[in-house]
Amino acid sequence: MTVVDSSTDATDRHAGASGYFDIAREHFALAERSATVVTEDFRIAGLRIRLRCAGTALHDFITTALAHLRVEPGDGPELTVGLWDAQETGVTMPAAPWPDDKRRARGETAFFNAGSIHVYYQIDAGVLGVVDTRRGEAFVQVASAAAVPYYEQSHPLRTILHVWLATRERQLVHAGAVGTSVGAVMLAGMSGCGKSTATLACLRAGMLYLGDDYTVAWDGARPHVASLYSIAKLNPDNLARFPELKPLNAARLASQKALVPLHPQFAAQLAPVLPLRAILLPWVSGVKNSRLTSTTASQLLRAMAPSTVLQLPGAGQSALRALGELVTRVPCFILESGSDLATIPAAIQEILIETGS
Amino acid sequence: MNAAFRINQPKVIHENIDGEVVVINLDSGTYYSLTDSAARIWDWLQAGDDTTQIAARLGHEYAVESSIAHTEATRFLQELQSENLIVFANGRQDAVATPASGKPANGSARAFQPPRLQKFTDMQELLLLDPIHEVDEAGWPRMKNES
Repeated sequence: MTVVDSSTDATDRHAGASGYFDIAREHFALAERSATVVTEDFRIAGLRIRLRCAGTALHDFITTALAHLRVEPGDGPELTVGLWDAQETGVTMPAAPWPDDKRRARGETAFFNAGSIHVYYQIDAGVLGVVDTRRGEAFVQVASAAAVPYYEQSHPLRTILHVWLATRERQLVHAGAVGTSVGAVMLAGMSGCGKSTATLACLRAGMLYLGDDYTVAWDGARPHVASLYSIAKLNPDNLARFPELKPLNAARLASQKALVPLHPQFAAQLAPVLPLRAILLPWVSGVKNSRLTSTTASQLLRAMAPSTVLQLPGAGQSALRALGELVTRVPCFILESGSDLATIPAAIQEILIETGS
Repeated sequence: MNAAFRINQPKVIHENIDGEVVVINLDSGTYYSLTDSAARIWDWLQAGDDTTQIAARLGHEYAVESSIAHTEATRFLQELQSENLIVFANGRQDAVATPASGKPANGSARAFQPPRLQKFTDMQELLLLDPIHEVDEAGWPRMKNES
């Protein structure tokens, strides 16, 4: 959904957003002079993205989940993001130039756009972001890396990536994905339906892993799914089933979900992008063996679209249409996840063989 | 009363897949499924039909008395309106006579099931605001506890 100040002239809105973007650029330049800056390139959904991060704590917080997508520096990043830690650098952005009472929120995020410029403020995390999708430039101020909620580490820069990727005909999706060399399946559905368990069971079985919660999909000559994050999230009571996994936050599992970095431990199995063969809707069946049954594209859309669109500030009709097109391009299945975890990858590999020809 | 409605965009988004319309209210986080006659009514709303036209189409396409078609169309549109999925197209409604009891639809019409709005509220938590973090007069990005 695009939220704008309806009482303000569109030209004024754009001028305000454009001016605020320039202010963000100037503040990043100040922050660069106040802290160590790390510049790294990442290839996300086939696109080169450069992160310039002022602040060491912030760098670690932001890049751990993206480590598997780091590439050698190269020419022509399509998106450059300047990030800084306001506390560490002493550089703080001024207030946004539009009235607070005109903003609305999706989740805990205020969102504003004018033309190609999008501004968001993630209230719970103290994260302010501006992105100009036309110029391929973005800036992110984090009030304090130490104060950002722990779970943000598993999906850094989600709003900026969603907004920018949408302009490159790529849709961020609330779905996991796993596969083999022939292709991948996406696993959709709301939190708690078993996406993480299923994807991690596949990782253990030697399959390729693209994500447990958020991935990127697009429908070109044929549909593809790309990896975004390599930190898996797991309920602590489920961790005992995966003793090989080492959470970042092992000491805080009484109150937090386990965050498990899969890079570098499973680097060879972290695939950046694969052809999409099918979309699955998992649920925990309670029986021993897993199995797949056919379902309709509309049921998959109902399971995948609301949780995707409602989590992403600025997502609206075009995102829903992209998801609708995606579910009609590949077969859809219910994955009845069994208690014997080894039967999950077996069922998925079987469907990949069937759909791969 | 006759009334013309429009889909409450951009707050409401929708997509038709294989005859099922998935509708999401971005303000409330509620989403809906419309099938069969409900999905057809949604199509006609999109095309700009008013209540009377929708009732007529319902009576023509389905094996249902025109008076029942009108009653069901009116009820369903009111339900859509109460969920804020549609709004008056021109801010007013016009008085028209309720159609007289019509003849049954022809033999090729589809069996009629009253239009039904299937409602899902399990995603509303994604939209919960945290009032503790309302910004102060300095505006965002400053937080209250920073002032």
